[in-house]
Amino acid sequence: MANLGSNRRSDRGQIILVAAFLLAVTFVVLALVVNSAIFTENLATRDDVAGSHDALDHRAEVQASVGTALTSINNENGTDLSDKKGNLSKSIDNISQAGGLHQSTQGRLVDVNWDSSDSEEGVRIYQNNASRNFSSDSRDDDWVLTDSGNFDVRNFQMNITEPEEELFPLGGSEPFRLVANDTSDGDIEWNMTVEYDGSLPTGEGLVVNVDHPNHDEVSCTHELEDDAGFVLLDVTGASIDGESCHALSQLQDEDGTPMWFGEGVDEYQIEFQNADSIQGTYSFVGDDSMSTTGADDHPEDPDEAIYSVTVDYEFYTSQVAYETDIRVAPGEVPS
Amino acid sequence: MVTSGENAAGDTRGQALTLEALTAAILILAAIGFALQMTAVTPLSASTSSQHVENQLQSSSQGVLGSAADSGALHEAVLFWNTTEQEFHNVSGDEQFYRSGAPSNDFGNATDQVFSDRNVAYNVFVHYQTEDGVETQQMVRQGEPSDHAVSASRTIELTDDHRIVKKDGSLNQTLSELDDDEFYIPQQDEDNAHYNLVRVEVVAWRI
Repeated sequence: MANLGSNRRSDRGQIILVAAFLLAVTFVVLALVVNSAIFTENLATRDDVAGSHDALDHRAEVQASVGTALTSINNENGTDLSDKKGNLSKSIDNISQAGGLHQSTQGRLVDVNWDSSDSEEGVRIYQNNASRNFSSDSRDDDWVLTDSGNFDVRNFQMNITEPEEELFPLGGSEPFRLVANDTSDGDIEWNMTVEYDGSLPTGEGLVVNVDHPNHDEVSCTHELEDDAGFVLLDVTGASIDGESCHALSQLQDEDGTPMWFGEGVDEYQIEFQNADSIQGTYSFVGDDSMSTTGADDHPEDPDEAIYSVTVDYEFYTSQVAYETDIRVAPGEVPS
Repeated sequence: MVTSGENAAGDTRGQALTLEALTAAILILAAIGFALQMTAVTPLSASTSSQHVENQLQSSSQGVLGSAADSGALHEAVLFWNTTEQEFHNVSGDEQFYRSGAPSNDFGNATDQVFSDRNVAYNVFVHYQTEDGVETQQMVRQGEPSDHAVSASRTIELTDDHRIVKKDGSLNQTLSELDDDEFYIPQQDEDNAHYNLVRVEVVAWRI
């Protein structure tokens, strides 16, 4: 019989070596698999390395800065349109130069340019006398501010003085109403009432109710600070003293029903009703489709104003080049 | 049958077997050492110094500045200046800026909520334009930033009709009515509505 056993047993040592070699290869392959998982997770979770969101962040800053300058220039009473445009042009040059200096300290090249023909003209309707109610020049309490038309209105702000004394209390019959009235179609209108509520558990409050054809009435309440003396109500910006008011912006229901100014009406004229139930200043800017020729007399003559401007924006870093036009119309309602 | 003089694999194979066993052991140990050293640790691996932690802090700083700018709180914070004492309102100590605490305005409340409750310290700087270039006024100083500090900034425009804010939050004179030495930010150009363009920078780090 062949002596197979001794042949096998003499070779056992090399089996140990082969097994060790196989185990070594297995460990290296497993390490390779783990590394590829780590690398995949690294690639997948990388943030914005090129810095493209900086271009967009700064675009928003430029839009806000130019908007601030535009609002300030429009608020200068008694200047005509060419003065305003000249003022705005110099302001935008300053903003571009100063902004470029700030951004250059962060390694970016930014330029903002405005051609003065790139603008929409408009009309600003306002009252600056804070101790006067909102009635017309001839003291009518229900009056029409603009002609009927399909126009846009932006930056509608009301600074209501002495709210606890002048505003009509909640549930009263004649609170102040701001109406965007579609006269061509019967009773279709967007309206907002402002009332005073002295019975809140936490103190005194301002109640704003908004109603338009596509939705029932919604209201929001804002608590007044003691002895504040005034409340800033931003109708198109949907805020009261800086706090947002959903009744003027968008509801959080299934449809996201918008409640913005002028929602639900296409052609309208702006009216004040019960204007003796409110006191303070107001201001809004309408675009060039808004006219006041057929309206009642305003306490202060409407001014020419700039409705919107479009500026050229350029943003360069070593990795990103971004150019676009920015339309600036501060306080415009989303369409 | 195995005779007594023979062992399992033959007389002369002992040293060779030992050598092979040793080689096998060294091979396995080397392979294990190599595999463990090869495993990559990247800045995005989960750890307390992960890049994600810094990115998150940067995003929340940017968010605080953005929402403060939108609601007007950032303008109020920059204009919250005591023109007689030449310092920010309610500052303790001799400096012009806030130490240890947040400013007593809406911007300070926002940064307090976002940062202080989460063990994040921050410094706030206001960079403004002068004839000689960009100068800096410190608003908040809470210490020296660590190596992992992040910076977020927001640019805001000041116009001639913005008003200085008094200690109780009410408004005072407009910027164009102020004298040169009453406010730390100078007027850049007198013949238009632009007053100055200011960059507010927040440097935040975990403690």
